[in-house]
Amino acid sequence: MYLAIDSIPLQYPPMAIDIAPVEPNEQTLADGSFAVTEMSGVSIACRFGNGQAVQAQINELMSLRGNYGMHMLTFEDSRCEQLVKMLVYMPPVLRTGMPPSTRMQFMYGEITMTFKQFNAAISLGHMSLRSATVTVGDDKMQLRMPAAGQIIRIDGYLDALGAGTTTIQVRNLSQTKDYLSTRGDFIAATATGLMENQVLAADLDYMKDDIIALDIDAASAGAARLVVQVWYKHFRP
Amino acid sequence: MPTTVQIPYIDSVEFFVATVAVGDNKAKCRMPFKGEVLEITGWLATLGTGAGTSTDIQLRNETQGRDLFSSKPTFEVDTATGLLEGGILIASPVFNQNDVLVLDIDAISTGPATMYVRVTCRFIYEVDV
Repeated sequence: MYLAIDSIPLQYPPMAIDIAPVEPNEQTLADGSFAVTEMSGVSIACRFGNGQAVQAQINELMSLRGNYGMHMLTFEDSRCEQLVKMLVYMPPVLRTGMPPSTRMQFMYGEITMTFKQFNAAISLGHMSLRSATVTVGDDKMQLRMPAAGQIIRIDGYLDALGAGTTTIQVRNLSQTKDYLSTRGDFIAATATGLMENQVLAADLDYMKDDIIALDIDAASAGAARLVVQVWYKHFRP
Repeated sequence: MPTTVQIPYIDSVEFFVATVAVGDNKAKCRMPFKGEVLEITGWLATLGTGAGTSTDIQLRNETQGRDLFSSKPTFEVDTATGLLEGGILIASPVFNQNDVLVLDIDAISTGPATMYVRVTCRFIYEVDV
């Protein structure tokens, strides 16, 4: 059956894929009361074997996993004819001869690798990049992103428009990329003070600890008190 | 046909006014998504003088042409905290995506300066899946 890890199809695909809901987490609290926490997501158990070289399958899984547990899984669910894609946690792949992990089982020439769907919390919000004095230059303000995510909107307001047009760019210093394919303008003739003409770029992702900066590429004479709002969604812890 | 998923979340937008004088459109914010105003807070760095006087503000939806407070929030000289007080929202303080909210200053005490106002909203972020 088709299985791909991070869009790389397996040369030694599984012979069966079973999807099951994650069991609720049951625990006894400190005061003796019983608590049940419903867990979201599903587990995807992939059974390998079917006469293929087990060591080759293990080697391939280890190679694709690397040292990182989070991966994008693409697989064919036996109950439907469409490919399913989801973010999963892939447990460590043990070498043969070692005791099996609770997630990976080795029995009768078959191995079972169980992936667990990962539902990352989504945090929506915005940050304000400000510049009291409006002069041409890069890095008028910088902020470090606390988590990975994606920019969904860029807007802004210029309190004192001045006499011409002020143009800004929002840039990812760490990845050296701009987030506006068409930069934002504050145009005195329009007189609204609101940003105009901005068009978001195609690549709006950022990683944890990336530095986001405000550049002023053109400054209207007499412009002052600029605030650029970057609306985002963090989607990874 | 795509399905629209609505994700409500709470966030605040800021309004800053350096020179505090009576007048409309002292600061603006274009709303990124539709939603409703929940609360308003603020601080007037220089409260000004004049016993019994106040600096009064109004939050207005410029796009829909309506005020969002039936009773205006104020910075009271007598209270001496510099914090925004009072304010009663209208029955339905909602806004659409791209509506422009503006801050008006309807009255001032003597010599106020540097005003910060935070408007906390429930936004509805919509995404097609």
